[in-house]
Amino acid sequence: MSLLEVTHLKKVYTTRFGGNQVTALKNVNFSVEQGEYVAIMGESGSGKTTLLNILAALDKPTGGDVKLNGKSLSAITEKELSAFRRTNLGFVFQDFNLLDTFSLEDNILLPLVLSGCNYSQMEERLNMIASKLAICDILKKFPYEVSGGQKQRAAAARALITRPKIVLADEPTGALDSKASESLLKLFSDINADGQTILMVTHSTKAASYAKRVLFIKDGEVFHQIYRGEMTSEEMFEKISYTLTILTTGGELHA
Amino acid sequence: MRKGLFRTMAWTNIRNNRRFYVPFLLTIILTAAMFYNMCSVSQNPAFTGKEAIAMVLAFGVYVIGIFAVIFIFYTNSFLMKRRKRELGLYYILGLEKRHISVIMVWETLFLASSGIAGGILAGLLLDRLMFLAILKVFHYPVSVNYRIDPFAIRTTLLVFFAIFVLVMLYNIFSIQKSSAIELLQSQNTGEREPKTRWVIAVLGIVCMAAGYYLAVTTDNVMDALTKLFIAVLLVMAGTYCLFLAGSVALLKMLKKRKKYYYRTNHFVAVSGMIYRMKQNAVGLANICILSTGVLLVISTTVSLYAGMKDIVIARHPTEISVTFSDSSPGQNQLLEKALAETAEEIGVTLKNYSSYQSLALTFVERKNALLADSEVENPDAVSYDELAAVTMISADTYERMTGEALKLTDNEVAVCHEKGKLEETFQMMGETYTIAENLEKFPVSNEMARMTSDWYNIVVSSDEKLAEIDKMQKEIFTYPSSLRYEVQFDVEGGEKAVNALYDRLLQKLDETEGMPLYLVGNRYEFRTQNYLMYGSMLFLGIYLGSLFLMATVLIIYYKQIIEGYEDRDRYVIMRKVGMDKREIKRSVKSQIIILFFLPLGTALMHCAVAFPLMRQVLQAFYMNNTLLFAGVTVIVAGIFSVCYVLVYSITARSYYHIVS
Repeated sequence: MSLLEVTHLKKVYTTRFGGNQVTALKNVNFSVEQGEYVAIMGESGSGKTTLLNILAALDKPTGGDVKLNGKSLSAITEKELSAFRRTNLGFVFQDFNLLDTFSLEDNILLPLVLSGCNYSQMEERLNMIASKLAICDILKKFPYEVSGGQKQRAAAARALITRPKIVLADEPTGALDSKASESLLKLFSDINADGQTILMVTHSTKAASYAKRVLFIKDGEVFHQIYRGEMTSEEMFEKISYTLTILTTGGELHA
Repeated sequence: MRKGLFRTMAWTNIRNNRRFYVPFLLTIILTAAMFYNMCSVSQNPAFTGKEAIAMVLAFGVYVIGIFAVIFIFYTNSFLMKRRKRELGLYYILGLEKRHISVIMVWETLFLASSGIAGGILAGLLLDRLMFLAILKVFHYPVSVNYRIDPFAIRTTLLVFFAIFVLVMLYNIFSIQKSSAIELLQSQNTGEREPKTRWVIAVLGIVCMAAGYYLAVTTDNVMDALTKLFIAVLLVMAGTYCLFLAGSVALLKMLKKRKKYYYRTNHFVAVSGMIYRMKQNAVGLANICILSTGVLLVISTTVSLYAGMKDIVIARHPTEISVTFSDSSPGQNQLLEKALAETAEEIGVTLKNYSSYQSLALTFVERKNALLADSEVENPDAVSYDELAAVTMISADTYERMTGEALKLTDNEVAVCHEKGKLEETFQMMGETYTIAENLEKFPVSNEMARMTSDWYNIVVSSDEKLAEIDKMQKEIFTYPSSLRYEVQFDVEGGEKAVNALYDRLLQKLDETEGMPLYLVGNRYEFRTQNYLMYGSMLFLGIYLGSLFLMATVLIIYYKQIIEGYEDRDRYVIMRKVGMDKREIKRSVKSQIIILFFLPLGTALMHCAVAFPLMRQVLQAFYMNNTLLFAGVTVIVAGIFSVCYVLVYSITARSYYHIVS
């Protein structure tokens, strides 16, 4: 059984006065296995963010189903939803989404506090994660006192501290310079090597080239996918670039 | 063409920000209307010649004027803070600073003209109502004529126009000073966690404790009046310090206790409150002090007004009283004759007639002795706690008034007192007296007793003894008293008869040769004067009270809205991280409730502590009815709290609207 199964996912937005209907996702099918590192690519407006929001249970699909660990997201009641999100999913966002009124330490601990963990357990997990992500010395600082790369590390730590089944990352390198991006992507590869499943939405070829598998979305459907197999990052990068060119020029692909 | 553009832009600005401008405009209108009304009432020809009222009302005009300046500036700074970003955008889009200034001028013009015009219009409409209300509380019989007061209109126009010119200059200046980037980013600056300022926190606790201590421990009226001022200053300082530093210190202490802090319902609340307190401490302290002021002013003035009957009876136990100072028995007889003649002339009968001679002295009480001021080493340094008010009559007078005979030898006395410390044998002006009897009741009132902590009513052995003591006190005291002969009586036939008799008696005494220093009291005249005096105070109290309440309302409203915009992003993030909607709502609610009910709670606490002190102050005005005062205070506090809660719930709705 796959960790995440997406079948016939459909999402239609209706404009406010009910005039126009916009189809964001037409028919999306894919699955993610335990321990995978998947990148989803697509142009702006291709439905990436909608897909991620539905996977994150922040939005409800119009049709189709998402199963995490065999459990359908639509079967979860509104009340259980937040707890479900906390325990099963970890989030990394493009704009970090750290709370400026909390120190990095408190930002990282937030999901655990919300779950009602006891403090000694929190401390133990925090120390482990902080040393892994090399942010031990900035834990007491506030978000406005550290660089973008450090913020994103803290955000990653917040996502990982609950030991989620899957980490969902939305353009995690979008607001970072190339050096910070590279180090964050290396970090993702490392934690993936430790067995953490990661699903990343991006339109950076560079970011996607670190993933083990890349899915391409166009017009609300999965258009193509590339498995990394034995390829190096450079080879992967080239292949993704090639696919993107085809994608934008509108040609047919036969893989 | 370009001029028209700027005007349109200014107008659009105001319209798009109407959530902020509408309450502001309403405030301007109300403040201007109140200013106009106060001004026109104080100028009303009905009050010419009534100096006290004119003074109280003129005082009101000044207070409202000063208040309007502070308040309009305060609100303006709220608005500007929110608007800088948009002005920065204009700047980037190519408007020069002077163009922005032109827009500001137009905006001010729109606001000021509609606000002032609306205010004066509302003032004119309310004027008649106000005047009727005033006459009602004053018990002042005057025909109401509706009038438009050109002086009041001119003053209102001038004062408010000046305020707006200042506001405009301030706004233009602050825009000229700042760069475009500053304007654009002004909303994102300064989210630093506040530092704990222990010195200020401790200072706050000390001030508050000292103020409270003064309020609770003061037990005589004279002290109360002087200490009230100090206590008010101390408590105000304490409130500011504690709101500013004490709150942050407390929250930070909670944050340090990890086991407490890292719990679902404490975590978000504690850290959120630290920032809220940092941004709102001064505003909240303002609200708290304004509220306390409103509560105290209204409850005391209402009590004075409601307790008028008691006050009048306390001051004038009978309808008419005549007091002669240091009169001879012959003069006393002349008075009785004049009185009988007057009563006959007018054709009224007197009842409850009593006359007596008494001596009232204020001594310093030390070591079982009553000392005159000259017998004390440093009379200026004597504390009010040491003073004892003594009223003396002779055994003969006592027997005549009560029908009870007292057998007292030369230096024996009978004493009626409540809590005095004198022993059986005591000294008075160097002579030794023995208390032969303790009395339950005393027929003559002790006027000074309410001002001092101790008081004694003493019956001495004879009229001669009383005269002897009087002679002695005139020699010893630096400020001696006089032997008083008092005649008190009621008149058959009510107020009209009393006033007729009073007028005629005054005339008669004036005509009679060889009268001593005399004083004639008329209960009804006293009542009329008191209604005027306390009535104008009540009027001012309620008037200023509602003004302050309005200010409080507006501050709360703006605070809610601004908080709302700042919190919105924060709650979006929390939702994404896994906080559920109900938890968010609960956490917001608890923080907002603490934030807005902290000032009210503190104000109520201040009032409760101030109660004993205010009771003493009221006693200085002959208002002794503690139960009435307590009742009025509770009712006023209740009404105020209801208003507060109402405002809170209305503004809270717009807050949730923004957040969700």
